[in-house]
Amino acid sequence: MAAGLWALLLLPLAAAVYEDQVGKFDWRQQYVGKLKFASLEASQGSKKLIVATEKNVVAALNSRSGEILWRHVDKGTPEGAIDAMMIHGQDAITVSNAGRILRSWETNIGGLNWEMSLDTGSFQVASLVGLQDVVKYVAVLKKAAISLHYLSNGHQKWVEHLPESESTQYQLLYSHGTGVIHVLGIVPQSHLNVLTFSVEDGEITKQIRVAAPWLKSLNGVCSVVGEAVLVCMDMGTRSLYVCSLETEQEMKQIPLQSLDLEFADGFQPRILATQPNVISPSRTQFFLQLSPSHFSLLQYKHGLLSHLRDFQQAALVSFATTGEKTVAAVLTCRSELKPGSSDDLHAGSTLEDSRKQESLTCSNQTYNINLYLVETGQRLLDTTITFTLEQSGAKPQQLYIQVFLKKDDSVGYRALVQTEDHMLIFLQQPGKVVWSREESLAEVVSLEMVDLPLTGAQAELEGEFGKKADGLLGMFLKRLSSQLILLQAWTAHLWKMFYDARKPRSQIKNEINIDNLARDEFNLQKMMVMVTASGKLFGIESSSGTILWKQYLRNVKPGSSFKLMVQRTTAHFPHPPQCTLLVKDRETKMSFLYVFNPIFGKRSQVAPPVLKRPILQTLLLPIMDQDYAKVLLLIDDEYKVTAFPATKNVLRQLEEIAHSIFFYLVDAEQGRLSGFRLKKDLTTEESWEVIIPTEVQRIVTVKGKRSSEHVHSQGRVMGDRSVLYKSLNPNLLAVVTESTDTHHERTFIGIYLIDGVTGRIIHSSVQKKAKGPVHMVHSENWVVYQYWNTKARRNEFTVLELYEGTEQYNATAFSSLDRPILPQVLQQSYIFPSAISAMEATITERGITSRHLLIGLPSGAILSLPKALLDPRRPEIPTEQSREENLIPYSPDVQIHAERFINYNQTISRMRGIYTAPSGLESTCLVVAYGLDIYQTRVYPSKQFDVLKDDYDYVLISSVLFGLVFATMITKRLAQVKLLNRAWR
Amino acid sequence: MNLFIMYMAGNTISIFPAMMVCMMGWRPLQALMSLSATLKALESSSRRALQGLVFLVGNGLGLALALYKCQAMGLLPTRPSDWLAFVAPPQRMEFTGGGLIL
Repeated sequence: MAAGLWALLLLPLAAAVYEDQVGKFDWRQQYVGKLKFASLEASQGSKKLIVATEKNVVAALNSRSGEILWRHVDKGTPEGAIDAMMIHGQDAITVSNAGRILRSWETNIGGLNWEMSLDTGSFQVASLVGLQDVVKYVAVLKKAAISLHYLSNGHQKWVEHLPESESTQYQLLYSHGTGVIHVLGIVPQSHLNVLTFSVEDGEITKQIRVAAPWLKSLNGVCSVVGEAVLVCMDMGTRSLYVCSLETEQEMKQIPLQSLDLEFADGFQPRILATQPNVISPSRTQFFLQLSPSHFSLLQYKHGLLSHLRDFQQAALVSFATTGEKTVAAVLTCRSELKPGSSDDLHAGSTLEDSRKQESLTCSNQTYNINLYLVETGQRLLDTTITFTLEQSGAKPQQLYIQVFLKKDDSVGYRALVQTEDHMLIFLQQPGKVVWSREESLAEVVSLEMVDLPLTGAQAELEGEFGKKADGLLGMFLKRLSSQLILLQAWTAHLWKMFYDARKPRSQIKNEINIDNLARDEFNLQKMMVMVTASGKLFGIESSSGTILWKQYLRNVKPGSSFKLMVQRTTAHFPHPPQCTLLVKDRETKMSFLYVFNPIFGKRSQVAPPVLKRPILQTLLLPIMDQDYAKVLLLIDDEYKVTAFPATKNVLRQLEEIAHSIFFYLVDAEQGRLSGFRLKKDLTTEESWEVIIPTEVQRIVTVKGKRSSEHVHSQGRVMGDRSVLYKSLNPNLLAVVTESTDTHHERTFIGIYLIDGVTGRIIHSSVQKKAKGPVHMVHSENWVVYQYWNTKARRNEFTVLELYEGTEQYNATAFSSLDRPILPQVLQQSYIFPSAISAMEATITERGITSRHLLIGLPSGAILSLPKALLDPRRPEIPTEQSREENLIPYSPDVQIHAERFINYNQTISRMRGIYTAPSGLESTCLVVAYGLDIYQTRVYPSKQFDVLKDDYDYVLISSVLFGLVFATMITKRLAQVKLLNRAWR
Repeated sequence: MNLFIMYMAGNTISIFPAMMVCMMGWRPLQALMSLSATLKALESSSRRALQGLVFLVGNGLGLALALYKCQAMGLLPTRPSDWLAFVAPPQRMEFTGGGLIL
């Protein structure tokens, strides 16, 4: 009992935020991801657009501001993938999980109307089905079956098996309110199977076979126009084939030459048709795409094919309908489209060549959108939207149009454009950007925080000392002028403070832009450099979340791996800060470096080395060249090392310290860890190798320590006042393996602590009946990891701590090559009530503040757990000494207290990582959590011991102080008078 | 009496024992500092040197006692743990880098 009480007293009180602190230091940005489907409601007054994205999100966006009205996040795995989305009135119907789940959403508030689970079978296509002017059903076509469901409640009306489903691939579904559904299947290079189902009972009313030996697939190549007329395109014969599904049994060939149209070689043509309403026939007009930038508007009516209009330089086309009017929107480049781009970000790489085929860039990045009436192909007057994208060169990828009739019966419209870099732009006539969203931020892969530069005034002061003296008077004048600038800045600051103080906090807008960017007193405000999976880089100001710069790397393929390094910080004025991004393509294995200024986002003048071989890993050395840039070493697949920068100075320094530079490479596929030593000629030789047999276990994570970490205390004071020295091996790696056997009785995880220089295994343990995913934090002298215990069926934490003992072997220098004594390893495990999705430890400037673990939970909360709770020295039976040491008695369960959530109710969907950075204040650590959302805040693991509290009562203190001074003065005067009087007496 | 007070005060650090220890250390120090004045008072004595020596030794003993008490209370920085905050981190001799192959 007493011990428990003691423990309660010792627990650091959780510092939850106060109500008025909400949003003061933290912000959250929510994203939806790259669009897969979008629907813009077709009326002028509508306020929302419904989107379904590749991140498995269904959401509604406010069309006036771009904000998220509601959002539903499904599983991040392929199980949550959305296959189709249809809009019917106020409802959005989605098919997800490879056609297994059918859902209907109420689009106004985002509620779920109903949900139905469907039979298995690979999903092909879904479509709304109408009957006699009412849309009542939704049809879902799978590989071997078609089912029809009521829109009102999702119940199944009927399900029918498709004949010959083994040989036939059913790919198209068509109905136009006549009481039948046409299902089109194809036997590649043989024939088409056209089934006609009755909507009422699902009976096959007609089954025809159309010979089409030239056809391989229906997707994209074929479309249904008009009243169930199938139009297909054939590359071989360069002609169109048409066939009425209801009346004909043969395909009619129409050579394209008759229309004076030509194909681009090697391009798979596409046909785009539109059916504005499922209860009426499709439009007879359709687009034929002949080359990446060449579209033709054609019409097939009454058995006649006619050519309406040609679009030579079109990037994208789209149909839209309002009322009776259907229009085609065409997005064109203002100047000519050019194949490829020579001014690319890096020279001589093979990455570009493969992309050339599809890359048609618009030289000045200015685009036009025009509307054309589909019936005639006439251009509608005053319907041009002109907009300019950033020069970085992402091209539009998708175009969605919202058309409405104005009061004077003319057509007005808005356009939603999605570019290659996942940016959404919502445009209004005549080219006004209503809003834009950076959806690539939904997938941040790498992140660094960089100090902001000094203000102009501070820089002026710095510059004064940097320059050579030019006479006594000159220096004096310079000093005076810089002091004057400081005074000016200070008065401006005071004035702003005074001005702002009169307004409520919500109204104060601290406009931050790239010009007034400056470091604050405590360096709490930093620049967040984010690398996203799409290859777009962002510079985000950390206190407000404003995007200050963005840069799209065009030649980055999806799935590339990135490594971001800060080579020079802002501390070396006048040299600009410098970040280097290593991008490695997953397929071609080729890598390139992109060097940029992290504050302004500009590409650096410094030319990075051309990397001829694939790079395996990098090492950022603490040595600097004469321009204060840290030296980056890149090791390639021939184990040769490239240095960047590679000046003579650097090479000389490298030669001197080459014997103390080591690389470790971990090949997870072959289960091989190997160490390499750098030689003077920048080649390497292998110094050690550890094989972990892949048949039994595979390596899942390898973590070293953060090089920027400071450890203030070299040991721990014991109860008897002796010191237990920490084993702080900076070269230590923690390697986690998982067993290949996943049976719950035989599964295990392995933990290896390996010295990166010598390859010596310092500690290894196997945890039986444990399963991944393993999350691990490796810092100071401890490793914390979390796993699933299959026997007890719960999540567990294990903490390992390494100590040298009560004597330090060598207190002045640490060398892995001279370590005769193995460290003592202490270990303890705890039960954690939840799974976790990300974990990181706080970090502070000098390492004095106690450490907390930041644990991202699947619920989206971030738990701040004191490291003192995960301490292997926690005694089972508390003794006098352990009490002296402030050790909390061991209890196996670690509880989740809601007041330890640092993000209160600002949950982060699908958290993938937490990044921590020290600030200028020792007490404060900056935290960024990223996933689908981005959240930034500050944490104070030992509370704010070095700053006055937010609610510190300045007025009271100063008034008391002044009062006392005043009282002293008065009493002094009184005493004097009294003394004088007494003297007279 | 000093010994008894010290024994009773115990080895925990709280305000009263600390005050006592301070007093105990301070008084002999004060006495030693006013050594010349004491010696002047003893000028008339015949065995001046011996008396002075006894005074010195007595006060020295008192001081030693106070120091011993400090030591027992753990107020003297004699253990490595007292100097831990000033231990500089060892210098790193090797640099390593790498990780999973990109």
